[in-house]
Amino acid sequence: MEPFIALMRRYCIDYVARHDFTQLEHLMVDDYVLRMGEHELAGRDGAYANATRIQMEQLPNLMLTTHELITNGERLAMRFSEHGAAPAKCGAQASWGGISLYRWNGTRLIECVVEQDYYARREQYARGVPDRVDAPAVAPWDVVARAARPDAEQVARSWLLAGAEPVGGTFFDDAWLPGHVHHTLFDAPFTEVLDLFSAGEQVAFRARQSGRLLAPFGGAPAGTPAWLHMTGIVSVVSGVIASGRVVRDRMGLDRRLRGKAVKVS
Amino acid sequence: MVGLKRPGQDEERTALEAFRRYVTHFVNCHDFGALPDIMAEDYALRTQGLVISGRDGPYRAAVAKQLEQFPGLVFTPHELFHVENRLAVRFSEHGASLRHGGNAAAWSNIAIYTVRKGRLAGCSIEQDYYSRREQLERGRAAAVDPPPTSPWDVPASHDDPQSAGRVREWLQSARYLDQGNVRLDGMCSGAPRIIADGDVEVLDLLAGDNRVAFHAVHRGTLAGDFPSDQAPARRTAAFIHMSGFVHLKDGEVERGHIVRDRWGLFRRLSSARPLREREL
Repeated sequence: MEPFIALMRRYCIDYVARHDFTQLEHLMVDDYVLRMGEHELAGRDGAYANATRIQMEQLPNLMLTTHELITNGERLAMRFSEHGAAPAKCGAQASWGGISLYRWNGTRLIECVVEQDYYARREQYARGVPDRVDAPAVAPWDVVARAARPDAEQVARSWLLAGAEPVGGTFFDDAWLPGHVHHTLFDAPFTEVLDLFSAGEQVAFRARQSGRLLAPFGGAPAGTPAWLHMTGIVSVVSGVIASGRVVRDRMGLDRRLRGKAVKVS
Repeated sequence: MVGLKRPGQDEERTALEAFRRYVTHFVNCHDFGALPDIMAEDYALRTQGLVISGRDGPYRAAVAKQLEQFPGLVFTPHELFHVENRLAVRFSEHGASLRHGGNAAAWSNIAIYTVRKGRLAGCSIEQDYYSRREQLERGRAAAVDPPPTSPWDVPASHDDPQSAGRVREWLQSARYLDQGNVRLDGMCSGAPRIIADGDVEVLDLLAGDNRVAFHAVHRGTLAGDFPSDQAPARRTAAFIHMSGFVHLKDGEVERGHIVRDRWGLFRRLSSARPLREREL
């Protein structure tokens, strides 16, 4: 088993699936950093562990399902869903997607940048009907490292800088679900690529998009200046983006526009 | 949360808690050290017409062999219900096989577990090893069905003897072969009948709140539509084990899944070599 994949397997199974915080020291360095939206949680046993505990208390039987894993040996990205029921929401259930990019030191994780679709989770709680979970990867722990492809990275970077509109088989947020549509948030957005790497023809990235709202969002009218973070994994075939998924921090955008403080730890 | 066990904690576990522990602390992390906490010593596995007795003997050897072949094997539940100390589940196992150049497969399984004093004491199950073999040979894996949103929050069901009776009738009349919305071996249409006539004996059954899981054997004669190394001999006496998970509406089977032991039948027809425990 690929060493980085083996570490992520332990992360997903021994820690998240079992809610076993005693595993943390074996999986992450002391000064582990998690970046999500505009937030940075520094320190494994402090801010990170506290934030995770809160989530696992809110969803005591939370599950993590892995949909896609890529690695080039140095970096790893994972597309996943978290799903479960929230007793504080009268048992309402939800399933929401996330895409995370990891760095490691050869034995333990040192950094994670992630976006999770908490906006979709909130919508599911509100309507009382959960979205279905996407199909699990057939063999997530058997993925092998693939060498980086600078040409694929360049295609993905160009697509991001051009505005990252859905093309081919790419889906943003929960738009892959039947009955859901893509929401273009910004008019002529500016995109800053914060992180990007490839494993073969698959490219993972984190970016920050800014612009003026194309339509009212979060109580703000069209034309309001705004920004958000997003992470994604796309496949490049014959020089074009062929498929992929992107998760945007719509929840963070909504809260900023409504002027609401965000509690993360 | 995982932590030190309190005295008697094992006996407090519900069927769902015991099953969850089996999935998260044993199968998905391949940790045989957890087995004594999860499974009774006299665990009995009923499959393919065999009874494999004992947690630490042939059962353990068969699972170890499978995990060696599929070192990244994943267990994904799709639907489940539980009534008192019993639990029925439809699930997939999936991963890549070291013996097939890394080809991957996802195969369906339906099982009924019995829990005693917080540990699994028995299981009736059929697994679609025939589909697994096909996928590994052709090098194209089937998609995995999604898990339920919140399998570990499923409340206990009430025993449903009326639905149990309807499903027994439905099976014994062999109507299961002609119901389009019941997937036979993963197929929504066009599945071979395999057995043309005969009788269905129900070996195990669990019914709760309009859902029924069963383990059965259909004995009769070959319909002549099942492939093997030799041309299937129509009208030859044969049997096939199967397990199912069906939903009822207004007292009738509305939809569901059935997994038949096509692999066991294939082996019987192909070489007349009986399955041995070590080959599971």
